[in-house]
Amino acid sequence: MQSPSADSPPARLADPEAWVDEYGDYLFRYALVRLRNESLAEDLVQETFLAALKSDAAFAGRSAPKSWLVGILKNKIVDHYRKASRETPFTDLEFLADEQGERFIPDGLFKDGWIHELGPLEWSAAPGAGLDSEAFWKTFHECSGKLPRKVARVFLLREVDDVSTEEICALLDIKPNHLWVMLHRARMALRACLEANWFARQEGKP
Amino acid sequence: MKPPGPVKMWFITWVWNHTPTCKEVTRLASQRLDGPLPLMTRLRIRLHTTICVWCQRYLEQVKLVHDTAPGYADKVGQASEKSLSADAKARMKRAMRDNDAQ
Repeated sequence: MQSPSADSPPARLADPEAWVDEYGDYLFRYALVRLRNESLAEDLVQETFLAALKSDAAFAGRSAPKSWLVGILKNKIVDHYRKASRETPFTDLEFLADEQGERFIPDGLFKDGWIHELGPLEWSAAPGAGLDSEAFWKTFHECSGKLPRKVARVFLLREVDDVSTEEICALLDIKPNHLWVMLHRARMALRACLEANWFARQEGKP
Repeated sequence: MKPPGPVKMWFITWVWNHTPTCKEVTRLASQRLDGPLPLMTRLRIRLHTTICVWCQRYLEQVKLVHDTAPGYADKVGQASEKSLSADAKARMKRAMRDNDAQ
């Protein structure tokens, strides 16, 4: 690996260690928001650099090093998810099911209809307003942090990283039905949390 | 809100009996974000929303969250003050050097 043909110097960055200064923080934050664990994020970033170093020749100036490194890191994160989901079963689902289940009429003619007082409120007339603000994202972050960890992971993969459901099932080795239930509950819980902590609060303001 | 008259009540009940329940609509609201639903299902949802403002809002709101979510990685992840410590960076460089020397 250390004997590259001298005629292709641009293929190899002069100093791979410079990656650490250049992309280290970016990769660290990328991992941190998906893992919510600093030392783990740090470990995976280091593994990313080492893996990058090994396949350095394969990189050969194809794309920007940043997206190449992010690609490696992404795989490391998914590997970690997969290992973690094998260690502990997805048991934290019931918690979400019942919390939101209480919003529906339990019996009678309109069984499983919204209990009117608990149904979705009207959000501000101009949806999208203020959704760019730091405060909104802070609320979003807090709400997604309340999801059970495994549910939060599939939510991030699906909604933030736009990975298809088929791919998530393959990556994490879960059944489509199971994934749908998790996504459904994540979306339901997140909607309710944003309503309570962002949209309802906005209404009180002039 | 005054209670609906007999004709309206009949309509509401008819639609209710011919469309998915609200609970079911919330499930479909999620599923339609992951792939297209069959035409008949879409029509039933549509019909259901003519009598149910809550589901109408629910459908809009989960879609809004879905459309907003991709910004999360950059808005929260990259906007944070968090960075690798100088120690961590030095450690990484050392690891790379050791690795490269092998």
